[in-house]
Amino acid sequence: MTDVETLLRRAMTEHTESLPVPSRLASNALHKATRRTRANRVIAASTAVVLAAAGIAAWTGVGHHDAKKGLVSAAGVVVVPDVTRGYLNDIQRRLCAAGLKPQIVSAPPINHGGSGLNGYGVIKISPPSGASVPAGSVVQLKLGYDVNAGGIEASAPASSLVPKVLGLSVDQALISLVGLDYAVDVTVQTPADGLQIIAQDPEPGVRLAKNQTVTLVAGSAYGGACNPNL
Amino acid sequence: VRTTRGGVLRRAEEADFELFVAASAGRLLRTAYLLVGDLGLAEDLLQTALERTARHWPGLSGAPEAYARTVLANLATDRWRRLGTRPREVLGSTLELATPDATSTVELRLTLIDGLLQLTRRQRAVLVLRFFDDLTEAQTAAALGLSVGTVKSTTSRSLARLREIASLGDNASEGINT
Repeated sequence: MTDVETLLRRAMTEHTESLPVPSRLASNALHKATRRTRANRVIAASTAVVLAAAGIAAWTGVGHHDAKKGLVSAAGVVVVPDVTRGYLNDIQRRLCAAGLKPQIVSAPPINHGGSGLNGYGVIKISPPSGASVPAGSVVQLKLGYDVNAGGIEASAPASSLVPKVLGLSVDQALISLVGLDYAVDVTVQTPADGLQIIAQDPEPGVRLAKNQTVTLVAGSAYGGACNPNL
Repeated sequence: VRTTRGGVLRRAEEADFELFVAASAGRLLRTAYLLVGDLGLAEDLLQTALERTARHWPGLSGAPEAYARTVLANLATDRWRRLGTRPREVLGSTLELATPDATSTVELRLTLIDGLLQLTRRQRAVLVLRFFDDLTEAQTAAALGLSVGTVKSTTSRSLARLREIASLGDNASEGINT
């Protein structure tokens, strides 16, 4: 075995002893090393800047975008989400989730004999979608008939005693009454946050025939807490 | 190994590095050539190894050649892995590069080198580092990322295999002694 080792040592030495060594090895290596180091520094710096920006954005909320919640900036400015038309319940939830306070300012009577619930919903919001407003701002909702409005979610109609809708939100009251095949006339007494029904006619418990009108008065009955679970 | 100042060398360090390359490039090139069996490829590997050595130069603390040799071995291993199997290198310009010698000795040397190229990559690397670079078993193990026991067993099996490939008998000793 020792013989093989000796022979191999000698063979490897003799086989390679005349290999020509390339010139400029050191300078090329230094040049490439410096260039690689600078490239790595640029990459590292760029990565650091991106990560820092992402971190700051995540910390402050800049750039946090949700299609349903809107865009929230570092200064607490909220972009009103796109809820121009649609179901009242859904729009209220989305505005609340975006940090805004939905406020019904106009709810014309539901023409039960005509379109009924079909096409009745939010037809206008103010400030409009896309506007930048301070977080917590009031967004006024105007209800009405529009072929593009989502309407109001309702259950199957039934004739019954007039339910108590006092204290309910406008949309909840509308759903409750229209779902019983009543026409509803809502008067907004004072536009305010957290609009609730503060008066109703007929009173709860009165038997009322189908297609009759229930008149409601909506006003501010509490501090305007936003309830996203509407 | 850690770099300092982001891998950019001072002027004095560059001078030291150039001295190191001048002193060791020949040995490293021969090691690379024995590892991969192709002069052009060996030069490429050496250039890459020297570049990496330069990047880590300030932290090498007196053992730059060992570091460069380890990089060479790793580069050769990476290349073998990329190729999937050990390539069948040819001897290339061996005859032209060899020193004038007696015919029998030249033939024996070529037989051994050819046998070396037929070994597995690990076997070849172990033999090159052990018997060409004269590394100890521990140094070889460190350079190749193996245990000392693996280096010992690989060395033994590689030499046996080389003897078998080269069909070495009593005439081998005669050839080397001429």
